[in-house]
Amino acid sequence: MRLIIFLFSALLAACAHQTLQKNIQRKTLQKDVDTSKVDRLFQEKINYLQSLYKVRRDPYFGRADKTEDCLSDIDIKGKAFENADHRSLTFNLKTNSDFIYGVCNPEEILYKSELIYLYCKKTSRFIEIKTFWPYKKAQPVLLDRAKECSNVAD
Amino acid sequence: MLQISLAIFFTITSLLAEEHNVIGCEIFSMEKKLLRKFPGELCAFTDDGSILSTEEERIVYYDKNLKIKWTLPIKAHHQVNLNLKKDKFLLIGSDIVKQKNAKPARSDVLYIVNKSGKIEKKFDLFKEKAQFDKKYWVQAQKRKFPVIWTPSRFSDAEWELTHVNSFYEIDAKFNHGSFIVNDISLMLVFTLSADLKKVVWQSHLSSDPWTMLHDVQVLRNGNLLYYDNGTKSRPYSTLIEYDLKNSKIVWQYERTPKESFYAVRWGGIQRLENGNTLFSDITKGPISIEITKDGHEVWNMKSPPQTYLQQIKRQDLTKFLYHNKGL
Repeated sequence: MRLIIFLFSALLAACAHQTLQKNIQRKTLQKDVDTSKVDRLFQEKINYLQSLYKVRRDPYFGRADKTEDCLSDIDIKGKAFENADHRSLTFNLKTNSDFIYGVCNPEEILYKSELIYLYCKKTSRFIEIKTFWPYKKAQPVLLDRAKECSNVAD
Repeated sequence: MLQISLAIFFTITSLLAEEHNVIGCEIFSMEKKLLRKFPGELCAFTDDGSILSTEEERIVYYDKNLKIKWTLPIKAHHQVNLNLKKDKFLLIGSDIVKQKNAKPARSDVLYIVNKSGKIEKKFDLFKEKAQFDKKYWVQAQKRKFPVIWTPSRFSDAEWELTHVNSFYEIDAKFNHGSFIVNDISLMLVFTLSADLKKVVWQSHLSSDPWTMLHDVQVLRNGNLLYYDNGTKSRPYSTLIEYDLKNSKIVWQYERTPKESFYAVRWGGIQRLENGNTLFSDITKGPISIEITKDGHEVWNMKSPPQTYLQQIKRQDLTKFLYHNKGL
């Protein structure tokens, strides 16, 4: 009986892990990054995201097409971190059912997302990692950036 | 090998051509699902995955990896279109004009910009005013339309001399010029030569002295298609296809009662491949609507309340979406 419970639990854990993996997308954006260009790469990502989430106004009357609420529980400034192994910039965002960023309509928002830009110093790679989880649930896993640097596939 | 694979891919995808709906810088499926969203107010999407996006103070060109390749300080508005070959961008920008004994005014400048960020052609309405029928300039000066833009855009201007809201390249079969432009301050539709230097043809296009038209374009059959918003004294909108050769309206759409369709500002219209017409309507909140020739509604998509529903387009963006995966 214990064996059955153990096997069943293992199966559930494996399924959960697989589901989780489906909700993590990794992509090497650039290899052999010149150290002098790393700052610029991070800045480009900040600029893009801030532009994507910029409150746009009706050109004639100045009414906003996004409300303050839309921007309240996301982080588009990005949290920066650096150690001997890597540099990272982390954004917390919301997406629709197809993981599209920039959505503000509350009816469309289904997921939260952690978007990480990671520069791995040893391999000189610039990596993008996206994690998604259901909007009303807690973040399922905190990614180990050092491990991501050593594991990432092209 | 790669080229052959891509050729096969695009042959297959062209057989399975899909249509997409563009509102500003957002791309939706026919099922109204958001497929991509990009920064900016208005966007033009190219087959290679690059994007021209407009912001209040500049235009920005992104490559397929969303890297900014160049920017230009053009305050673009209303629409950004591709030329017929789809390798250049048509833009409506603005300048501040200072005339003697008059307060500074806003006037528009038309630009054709290539994918490298070079301005290839330019037409400044104010500098070329001698080419227009004088009475329209005199009337525009008298009317002195107030600047209705949000202050962050054209704060230096106190009134509007010109106000262009559409700019398209014309199919070569049309013999009245190579580009068509609509200006609601001059209340003139005009065409320009291929080098963008000469006004070839101009018309007020209405029996009413006051008009407000949007999105004036030339169809493949040589007829004009446009959005007549209506005016305070004629408070209803009409979509019109006009036969220039025989000077007659060959198709129009109004609603019953007429006042139930009155877009007091803005208006996008497009004749679709299937003969239907797509248009925007802000009478009761922003909505894009597709109608048949006989005015029967076959599709619609509502947008959130404050959406700037000026440029709407139905396009096959399969190639763009293949090359540009978004963020």
